Amino acid sequence: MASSDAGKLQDGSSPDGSAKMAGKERGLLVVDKITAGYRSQPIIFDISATFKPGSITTVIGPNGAGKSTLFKAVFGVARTFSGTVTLDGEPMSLKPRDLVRKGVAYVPQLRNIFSTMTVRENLEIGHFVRGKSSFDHVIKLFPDLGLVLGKHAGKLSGGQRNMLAIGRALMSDPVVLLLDESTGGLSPLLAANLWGHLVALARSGVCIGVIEQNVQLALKNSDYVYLLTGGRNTTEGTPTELAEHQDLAQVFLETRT
Amino acid sequence: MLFTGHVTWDQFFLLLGTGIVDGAILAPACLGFSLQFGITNYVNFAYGEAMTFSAFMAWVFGVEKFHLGFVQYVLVAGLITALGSLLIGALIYTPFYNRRPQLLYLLVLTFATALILAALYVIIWGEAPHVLAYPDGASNTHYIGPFLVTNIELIFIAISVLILAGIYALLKYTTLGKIMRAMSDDRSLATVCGLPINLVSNATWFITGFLGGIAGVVLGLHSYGFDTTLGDGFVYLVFAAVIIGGIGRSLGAVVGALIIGLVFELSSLIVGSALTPVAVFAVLVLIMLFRPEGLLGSTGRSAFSRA
Repeated sequence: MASSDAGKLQDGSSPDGSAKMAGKERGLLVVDKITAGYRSQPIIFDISATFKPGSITTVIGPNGAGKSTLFKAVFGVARTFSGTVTLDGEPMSLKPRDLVRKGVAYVPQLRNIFSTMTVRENLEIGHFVRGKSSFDHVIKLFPDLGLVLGKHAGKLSGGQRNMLAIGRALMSDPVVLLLDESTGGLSPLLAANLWGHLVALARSGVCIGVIEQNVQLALKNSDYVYLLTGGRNTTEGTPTELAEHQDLAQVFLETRT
Repeated sequence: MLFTGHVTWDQFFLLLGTGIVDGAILAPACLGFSLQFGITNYVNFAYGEAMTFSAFMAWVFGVEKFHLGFVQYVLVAGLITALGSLLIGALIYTPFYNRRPQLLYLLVLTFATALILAALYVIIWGEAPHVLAYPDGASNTHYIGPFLVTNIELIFIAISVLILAGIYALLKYTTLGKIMRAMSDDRSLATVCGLPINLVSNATWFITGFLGGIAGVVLGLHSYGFDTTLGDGFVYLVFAAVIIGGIGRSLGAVVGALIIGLVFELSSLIVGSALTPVAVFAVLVLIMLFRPEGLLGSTGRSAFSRA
């Protein structure tokens, strides 16, 4: 996993080929004490989280914990009352257009494709604002999409839809990719498949932030996990640390009743 | 036999031809109205006033002052109306939408805009009828197959086909058109994709203003003498056609326009010409009963799901 201390890397000017990392780290998204919600009602309170390049950071928590609101706040869809978001140390405006231009892409949980447009057009939409990623790159990642390019996106299966939504986000060649339950509603096989893609993307250097309902999948594939309950940070750590956390199961059980 | 005894095939084809012409006149206006709703979420009842405005611009540039040629004054009127539509869209409609995106408020705003504009037109141009300049030989007639048509009617159809083809190409092949369709499909997703929502909204006001403008001039020519109420009644026909076709669907708008045009003319064979508007809305009610989403289905889920 990449270090978040860009400064140290600069000083060290490491001889082991990581010289390209010597400049600014690309895709370090830091959410600092965000309070956000809808209208005048906050849903999440003082939440902080760090999303590092080259790794998968997952947000878990029971229903209503504010996971989606966290991502929506970053993307200016929810209303932010206080707190900041920085990308590589630079404060962000929380306006979708600015974020996408800077390379932060977001795939919402629901309604994440343009169903009246073709698969090809959906992908094209992804690089209108920003993007060097070629079609071929995305098609290579999701070969299934290559077979249905002319099809209307509304006619795709659930798994294909999610791949299309992620594929569209990838067309903008993002440095940060935020996915809100992209495995939701998928069969275990498809979900595992999608996670495989995400791990591969992270290894290629992308910073990936994921919201996941399936705690086991999350712990298995993530590099770092945040647990939210009641709109607040509860616990965080590597999957191993969290798995040892005795309260984890309890937290889920408690808030469900 | 549906027809009363004295209707001849000649009369039938005459009305069929006139119905197609009516459909051709309606189609660009319906397409503009439908695009406006799909992309900006405005059911714009001031659209008729844009058409009236354009007809008067055509009169100003073709008759009153500059005596421009036919093609020139049609284009100039269309472009000025497009600019007017852009101004109202960018300065009033878009900021209002960003504060209060509920369908009812938007509807009331467009009604208010229509009333204000209508009053302004009466102040500027009075209530007397105005007549546009016609190209030479406009009323010469031809038989095309079984249809008896005038030159000017052929021009109306040509203008309509040109506009529809142009808009089709815009929506299908250009980046702007694809973003317009994306916004029409799902505005909030288009927003989080970082698409230039406001810019494309403004482009939509301009383009649909141009469509309404051309439609207004054509309507002014078609009605041989018009006053400031030209677009008032017409906008309801447009509304009916767009709903019949499936609101937010571009192809549906064109199909709806043709149906309205044909029903409008052919119904006079059955119910007498005084009742043709009734026939049009009776067809609308029937279609709504059996296919509430319109013949081609509707897309504008963003606005109606919120209403």
